[in-house]
Amino acid sequence: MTDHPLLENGRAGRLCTLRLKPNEDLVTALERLCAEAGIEAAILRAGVGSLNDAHFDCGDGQVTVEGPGLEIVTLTGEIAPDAAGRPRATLSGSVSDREGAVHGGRFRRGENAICITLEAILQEWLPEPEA
Amino acid sequence: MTPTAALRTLQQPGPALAPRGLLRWSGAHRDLRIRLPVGADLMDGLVAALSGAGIEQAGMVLLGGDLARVAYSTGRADETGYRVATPHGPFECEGPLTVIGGSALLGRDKTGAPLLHCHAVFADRAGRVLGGHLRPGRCPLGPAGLTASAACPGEGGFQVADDAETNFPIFQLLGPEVAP
Repeated sequence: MTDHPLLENGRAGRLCTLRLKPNEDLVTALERLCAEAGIEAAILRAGVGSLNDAHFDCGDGQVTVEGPGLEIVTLTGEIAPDAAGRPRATLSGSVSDREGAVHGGRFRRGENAICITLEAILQEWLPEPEA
Repeated sequence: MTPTAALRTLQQPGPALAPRGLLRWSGAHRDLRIRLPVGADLMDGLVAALSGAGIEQAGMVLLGGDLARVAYSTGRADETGYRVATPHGPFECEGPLTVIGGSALLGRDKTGAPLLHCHAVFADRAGRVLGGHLRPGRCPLGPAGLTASAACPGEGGFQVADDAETNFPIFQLLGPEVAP
């Protein structure tokens, strides 16, 4: 992370539809799909699904919400290349529990197993080389 | 990746079907901003607006709006074992309610008719924040209506089919295989 603002020129590219199946981790499975498809950077345009349990980073703390059947009610984020050029997902959002109460934060890597399904639409982000 | 202690996996009623993730490229796509007026139903209104423009597939983000009333369901463990989780509710809330966010996917049901899968978060007048899986025809919009952005795949998308792994009818992907 730099200590000054970064403006990256680029444009939105192709759309893709995707689905993750039960017990796959939301964050790392999305990264794997992107790597297999040759997607280095992308923006999440829509996402609906459910989790077995939810594990969030919230500020300097962590929150766990026990399911199963937690509805993912909002899901936003992006895929961006890490230092090695591999697609890395940063996903934030919220889930509702069985009473409808909403809990949110940044989804922790490797800790958010899909319950029934995740259906989503991604859009490539195509950065333009700096002049 | 090796599962962490926190990744609780659950035994589904059916076999784990490969592959565990699927991705399909769309063709040329459309981007739309959608405005629904007061009185329209959130789900039926989105379907009608998109279908009226000849759009059969879309992913949407709910950008904001008001609900006069809402009916939604959540999920809970299925004690019968038929499924890992099953719908709970529906619950109803009288408005006015403020839509904080949400997401929706428009695809086809088993017969090919339009079907919208929509999850949303909303706040009541006391600031209590609730959310879940919205029910069609039971979410009339309030004074601010609703604004959404839509990304509409030119080909491919979603259609419901019975899923032997989960025992749910759920959206499956349409379209050509992934082409890196």
